Amino acid sequence: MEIPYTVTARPDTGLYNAKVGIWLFLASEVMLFGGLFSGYIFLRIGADYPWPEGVLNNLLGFINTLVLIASSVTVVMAWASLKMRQWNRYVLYMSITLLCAATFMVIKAFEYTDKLTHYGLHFSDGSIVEGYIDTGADFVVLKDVTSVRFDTTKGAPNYVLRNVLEGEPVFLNKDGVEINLNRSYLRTLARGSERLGIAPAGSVELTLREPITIGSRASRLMNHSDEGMTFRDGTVVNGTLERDHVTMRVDRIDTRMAEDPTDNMALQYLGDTITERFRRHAQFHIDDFNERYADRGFDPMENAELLRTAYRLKLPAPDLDTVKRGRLGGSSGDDALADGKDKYPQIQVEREDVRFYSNFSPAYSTYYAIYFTLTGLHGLHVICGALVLGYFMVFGKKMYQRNPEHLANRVEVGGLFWHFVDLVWIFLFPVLYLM
Amino acid sequence: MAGTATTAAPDHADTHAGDHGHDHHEHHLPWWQKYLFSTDHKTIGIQYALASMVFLLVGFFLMMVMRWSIAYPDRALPEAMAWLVEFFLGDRWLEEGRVTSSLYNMFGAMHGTIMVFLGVVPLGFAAFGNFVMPLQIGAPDMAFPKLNMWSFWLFLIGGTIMMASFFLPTGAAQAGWTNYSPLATTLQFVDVHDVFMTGQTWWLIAMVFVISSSLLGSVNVITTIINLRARGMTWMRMPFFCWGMLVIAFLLLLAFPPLEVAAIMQLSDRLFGSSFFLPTGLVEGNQHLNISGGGNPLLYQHLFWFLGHPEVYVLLLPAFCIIAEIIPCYTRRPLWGYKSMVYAVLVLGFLSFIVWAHHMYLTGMGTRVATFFQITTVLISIPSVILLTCLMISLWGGSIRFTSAMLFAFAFLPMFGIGGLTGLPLAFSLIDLQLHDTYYVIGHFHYVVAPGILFGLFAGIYHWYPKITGRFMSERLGRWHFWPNLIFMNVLFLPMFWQGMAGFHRRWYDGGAYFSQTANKELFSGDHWISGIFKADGAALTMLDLNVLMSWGAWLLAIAQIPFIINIFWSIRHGKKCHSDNPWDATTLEWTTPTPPPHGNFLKEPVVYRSAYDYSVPGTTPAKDFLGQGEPPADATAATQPSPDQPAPAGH
Ligand code: HEM
Ligand SMILES: [Cu+2]
Repeated sequence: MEIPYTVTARPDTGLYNAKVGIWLFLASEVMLFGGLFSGYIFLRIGADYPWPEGVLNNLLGFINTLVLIASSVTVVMAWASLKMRQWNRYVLYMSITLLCAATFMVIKAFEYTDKLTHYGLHFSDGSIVEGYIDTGADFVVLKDVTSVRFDTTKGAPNYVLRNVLEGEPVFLNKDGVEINLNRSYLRTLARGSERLGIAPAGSVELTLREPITIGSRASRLMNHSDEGMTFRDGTVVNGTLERDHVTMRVDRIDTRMAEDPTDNMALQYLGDTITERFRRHAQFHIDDFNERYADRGFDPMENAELLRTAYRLKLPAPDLDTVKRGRLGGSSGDDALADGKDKYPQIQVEREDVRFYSNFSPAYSTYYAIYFTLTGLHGLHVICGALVLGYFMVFGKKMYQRNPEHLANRVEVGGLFWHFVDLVWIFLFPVLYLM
Repeated sequence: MAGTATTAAPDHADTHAGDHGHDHHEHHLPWWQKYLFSTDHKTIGIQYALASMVFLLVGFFLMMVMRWSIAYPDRALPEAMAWLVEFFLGDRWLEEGRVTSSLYNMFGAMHGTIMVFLGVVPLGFAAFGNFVMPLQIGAPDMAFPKLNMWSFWLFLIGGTIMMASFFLPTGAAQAGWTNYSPLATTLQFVDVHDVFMTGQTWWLIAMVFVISSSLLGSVNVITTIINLRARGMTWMRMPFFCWGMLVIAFLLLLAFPPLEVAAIMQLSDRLFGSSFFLPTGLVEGNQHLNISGGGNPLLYQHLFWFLGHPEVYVLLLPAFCIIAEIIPCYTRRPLWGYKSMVYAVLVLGFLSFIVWAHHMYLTGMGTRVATFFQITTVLISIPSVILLTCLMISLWGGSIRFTSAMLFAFAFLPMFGIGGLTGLPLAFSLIDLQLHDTYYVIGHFHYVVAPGILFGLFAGIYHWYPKITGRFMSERLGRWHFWPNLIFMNVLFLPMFWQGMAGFHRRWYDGGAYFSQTANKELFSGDHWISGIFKADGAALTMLDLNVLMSWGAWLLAIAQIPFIINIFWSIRHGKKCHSDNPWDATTLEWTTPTPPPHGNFLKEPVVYRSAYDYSVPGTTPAKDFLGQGEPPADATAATQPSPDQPAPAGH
């Protein structure tokens, strides 16, 4: 049996099967990204915090746009070469296409690492500092941990096991025998604790053979004290608190969300010189605004754009007297690729002053969440498309010799997909980088 | 079984009846390629059918346990049910043998999920669509046979993950089949040792697989219909079944991706700590969640129902498709209003994309939005009514053969009618304020799904079984299947409307006992004769007592499935043999193939000369009262010249 119209087009529809298939598939892809873009609009309109603008590196984004457009051209050339039965040119153009895909992904990787190593920290009064954390992501570090109490019905105490900084977590039972926390042993423990009537049922306390050190992000903790901490799943560990603060090199202040944008915790931590410069910077922009729109009676505090320039300052803070007026506005773009982080002022923040902190991962804000979801899914499409096209290049010779038209069809279909991936980026770039 | 003896065999019947497996490659394939990793659309269709029927049984069992909790919240589960629950899930879900609220929630969520995504859609669209559609349009197989196989296996992987989630330390998902955030995100979230190993997370992962499977499947179905129709099979000669499948496939293709988006976003919320669906300041278990917030729970509902409403038509249309084939065949009359049915189903498909927010009237999305969706929702009932009316008029003046298939098809009409009509009041936000999230809604869609859709699917199984096995299903068992089903389904679902209007919430795990002070309205006073039947002690009959009645309906309904299960297996060997390839004297192309159809389906290239429902038309005789789509017209010269604008298939 043979399926008709795998290579030649059906006369009345004018299409071969795979072409119908790919257009349908692309229709569903449009709905997929359409759903994501609608989500973006929904989140942005409904955001109860200033939506980040201009926080991505436009130059890298622009280069990636060019790279993808170029690859869309070369993939057509590859297909045309096949149609003209020029195998070598086909391989050449296809290689350029794949090279573009690789370039795109490498640049993407740089952008991602930049974001993921960069932190934002919200003080409890709403002011924000951004920068690099030297002490690692672990806020709370507990030393000399010797015992762990956890609920065995919920499985192994993963928050402890996955956060060990030093030492090896080997558990002992009552009789001092080493135990292996597999499923069946956990069940035995649970039953034992139930028999002994320990409340809550299933909860056991195990000792460690040797003391270990654990660290944790604040977000995984319910509470902690000098003698121990409780993870959010109820697991209790005892030990000595070694660290309850974080050191951070600050490369930006953002006080828009603070009750008083010119006097708040972020500025207090950063000290007088920077506070001084920050206030002058803010005042400079507000004055400028008032001057410019003097006759219109706008309230500067209602203007999101002004607030963004006035109450957001890139560090090291520029000395206003030495900087020309025109360059002050440009506080957008990231400088993470610039050399040396020593130039940024360093602060040590106590945990109790912090409301929330995270690297610029999806957890930081809905902006980063949708940024990573959109670009991540797009990146996945780039990888899949490149794999398919690469397969047609590396393993296509046999089919080329047997039925070149069939291979050309396949490349056409793959190329259509590739154009779609390109098109998605053409939407992504302005939406995420420029708007 | 009147009228099943073949009067005049169509084309190949006499030469090939009972002569199986003509295709030569088929003999060389190892068994696992032939039955397990098959690329043959018929095998895949049967695989889907078997898998989905197993899922339906599982979903049914969950419901029986829930119904116990509703009817007798303070009594321990019966021995057999308790044993099954403990055997599979361990003893922590029962409290002194009683169903705990978490078990109820878990079974409730999984009942809905399994029935909709793993049961009815795979059976209706994937199984019937796969088996019947390519045969009906005269194609040798689906356009992409390998992709077809992948669809099935993705579906099975998704289903397996869904089932496996029962055995996790947290148990399976518990946030309802709609899985609304923030509940679905924060459930099994803070208090677990590992967020990945939770039922809520696995639900999402399983859904991603199931969705991907549907997407591949729908691409395949549409491509096949567009490009692989046989010579002469013009659009307006295509059986209504295939039109329906085309529309369903488009619904799946375009409506499922937004749900995939929702699943990905919720996964990200759970695993990466983002806040797509979590608002600022969310508190869970007395502590502020350490999240950024800023997200929007309504976004989830929009994404879910953008799929959710088209999905209900994905559930419904296969039943319509099947019944549109069955009614003409057993009444020996052409389908009435074929063209208007086709246009109606196209309009229905389009409209179903713009009604979704009628599930969200109470979310505070605003009256303007609500008004828009009220209007579209009322509009969509027009094409639904056209479809139903055409089917009813098709009965008019027919000489009906009441086979089991026809009985089920016949009962579908009023049962779906009740389901659809009770949907109309829900369309008005004013009335929906009262009825939303009550048993009225449950009654509404169960009337559509159970005595409606399931009856349609049963009918289809009775109808096409002879094509698969070469034997009829037992008519006697078929009747034992039909009547109890019809009765117990109504016992189970009809009282839901009263309870709903009395304000019974759909998710009470004790059936309302906790609220009996307010919810327990009296139906019949103690001295009424109806109370006398149910209550020995002369007490009044109340709303809560309906719970017991309905639950008994549910359990007896389970027993009513036994004849069917026996019938399916028993008839493979012992059913009455068909003496032709076209035992029902039907017109469509699937009946012109050998039985069962070999790999590649047709022995010679099928050519289509006429519309799909030429029963009792001019040119037929009492002895042979139909003209098959593939029968050349009596005028021999025309027969050899199919219309010139029809392309010749390349690869036959
Ligand atoms: C014929 C016209 C129909 C109308 C006007 C209609 C209207 C509605 C409305 C307004 C609701 C929301 C009620 C609420 O939650 O408060 C609803 C719920 C529902 N309908 Fe329909 N419906 C119709 C047909 C169908 C069909 C054919 C199905 C097929 C299965 C169906 C399945 C459902 C389901 C599953 C729900 C409940 C979903 C949930 O909340 O869990 N409906 N219907
Ligand atoms: Cu709906």
